[in-house]
Amino acid sequence: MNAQGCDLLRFLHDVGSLQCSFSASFARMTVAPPGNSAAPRILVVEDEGKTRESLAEGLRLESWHVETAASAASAVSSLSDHPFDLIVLDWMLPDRDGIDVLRTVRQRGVHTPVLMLTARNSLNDRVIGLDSGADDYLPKPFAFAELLARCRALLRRPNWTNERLLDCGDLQLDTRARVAVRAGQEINLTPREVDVLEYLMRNQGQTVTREMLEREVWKQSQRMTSLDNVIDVQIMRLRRKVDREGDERLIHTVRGVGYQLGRTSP
Amino acid sequence: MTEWWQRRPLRFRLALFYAVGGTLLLAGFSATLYLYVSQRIARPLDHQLRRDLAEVHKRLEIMPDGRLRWNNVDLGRVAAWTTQYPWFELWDEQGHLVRRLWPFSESRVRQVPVAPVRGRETISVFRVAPDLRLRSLSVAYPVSGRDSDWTIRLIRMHEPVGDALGALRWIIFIALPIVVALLVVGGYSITRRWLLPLDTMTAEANRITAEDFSRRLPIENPHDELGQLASVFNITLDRLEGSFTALDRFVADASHELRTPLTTLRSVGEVGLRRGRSVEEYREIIGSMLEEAQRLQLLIGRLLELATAEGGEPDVHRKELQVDEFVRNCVHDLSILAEARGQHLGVKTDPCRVRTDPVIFRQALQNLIDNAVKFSPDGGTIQVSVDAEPSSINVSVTDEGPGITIENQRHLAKRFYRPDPGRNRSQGGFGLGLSITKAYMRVLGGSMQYLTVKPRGSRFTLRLPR
Repeated sequence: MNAQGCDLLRFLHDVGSLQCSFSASFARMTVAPPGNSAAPRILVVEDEGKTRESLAEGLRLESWHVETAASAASAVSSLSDHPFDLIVLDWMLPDRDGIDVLRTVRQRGVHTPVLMLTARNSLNDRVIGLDSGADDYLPKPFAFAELLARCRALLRRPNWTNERLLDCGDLQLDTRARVAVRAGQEINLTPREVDVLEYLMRNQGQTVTREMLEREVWKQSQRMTSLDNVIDVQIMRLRRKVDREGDERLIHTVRGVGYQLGRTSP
Repeated sequence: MTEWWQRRPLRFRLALFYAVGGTLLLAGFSATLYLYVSQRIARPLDHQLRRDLAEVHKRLEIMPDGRLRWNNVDLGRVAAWTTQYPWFELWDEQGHLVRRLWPFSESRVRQVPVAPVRGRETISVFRVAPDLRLRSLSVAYPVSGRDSDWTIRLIRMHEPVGDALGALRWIIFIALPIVVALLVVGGYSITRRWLLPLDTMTAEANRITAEDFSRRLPIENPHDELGQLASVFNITLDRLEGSFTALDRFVADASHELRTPLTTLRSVGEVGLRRGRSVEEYREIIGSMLEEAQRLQLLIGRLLELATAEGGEPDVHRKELQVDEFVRNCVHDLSILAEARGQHLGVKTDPCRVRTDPVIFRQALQNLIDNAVKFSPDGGTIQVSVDAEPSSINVSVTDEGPGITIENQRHLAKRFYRPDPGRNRSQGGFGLGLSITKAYMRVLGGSMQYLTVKPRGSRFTLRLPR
């Protein structure tokens, strides 16, 4: 590839980091959930300073204990000092490859779950990443909400339940009968609307991005611009049915990130 | 040695190879020729020697007391031997010379020939004076009344044969170096002449760089190997130039398009910081910046998608697809967009199957439906239809939009092309959809066609080969 092409790629990478910092700063402004005594310990390994700090701060807002490392060497030394519950690992580090660190750590018998972050996104890279012992893989740029969701999943603290009956305020959803009721009145929903509402309710209090909806509800493996519009319209219609005039607003738009269902606005 | 050899230029190696090979071949040929001629040329002489032997057998008589008689004449009294009789020597069983009968006086012969080897028929040549060579035939000679044979050596002058052989030798000695020299010089210059296009090709190839891709290798003779090599090389260069220009254009277009959201991002941030604001206002500002960042991310995603579809090799995983059902599904996914604008999105399909990649085909089709929804007026009708033909399956999307003028049709499927820029940017379009669809259809081995519909509207048709 010629010089211009390389510049373009570097530029794309920078834009990716920019967005990560952004979404994490945005997360800072949300209200922190109450403290947790047995806070999980998380190690964030990322060389880009801004991204690293905003990731760390965003995760601390979840009341998790976060430590950071800017290089492979310091990551390995932190890992030998303390045990961690989760490692968020950047693929490209200045001194060594993230994959290399991962292999070293796994060879030492550390089975801490690892979430790989990378600007690369080809299927092949995904395979390499997961093969070398990563538990999950998130391509940059990502929405912080999505990182959070994946971290929770890896920490085995899913923020959604398997219960059949979900509720939020005066809204109830029977996931098996696929019936939603608000203030005792049944809401007439299409099957797709029920799917979206269920996903939002299982993740209530958490921001859900369009990517997450696209993958989990529309079951699309590849991102499509047209579906973004579809999701927006779908949410709009769902909101019109669920939050009628005079009701407490439950479905909120988080500008530039996605949507959230909850009693308090984000 | 191998390294030394490999470091020499090709034409030097070829010339040297010809010289050495030619010399060896010629030397071998000359030696064979010389031996053959010398054998062949002496044959009459040997024949004469054998005739002489027969004559000796006929005329010579060895008396029991050892005296010799020739034609019943006692040889003891013969002093001079005339040239018309055979010349010969007789050697007894002990290897002593009994008698030598030839016309030379002893003084003329500087070196007396040695005794012949007994019991074996031999032909030999020896020089007895500077200008005199003799050829001799030695055979066993039975003598009546004795137990063991004597040896007789018949002799003739060798010179007539020697002259011809000498001339042949001279010819070979003079001609060989000349021919070798001609081989070296000629071989070198012909090789040089024939490999000359290689030099010009090398020089020209050296001048071709990433900056100047317009140059091509010269083709002197399109029929020989070098000409073929050059033309193959030129075809590769054409392709390379094409992808380089495509990449340059892509980078130029992309950086232009990326600047727009970046500018918004910066200005919203900067303006936001100009004075103190409430938390609500800050949330608003950051939210708007995030929206722009998302737009950037989406654009980059689309650009990469286009880059893989156009330049690279996207992974194609074909499988058997029930087209009517598949198209209905796609339409259903997007129908909500049409509903939101009060448009009617209809589907009419023939049941048919085709082997193709569903993910790629879905992207191609959804781009078209998305466009149709965007460009049709509120309350309009969009018709998606599937026609199964023997050789292909045509999926077409017809809208009631403004249609595309002939002049704009040329720009269709050009990257970042929007017929009405302001309008589409606000609707979230990048002007990449048709390019991506077209590239994807090419990946699937099909094509995309455009048709203006009367009185108004457009029809895009995706053709998938069966």
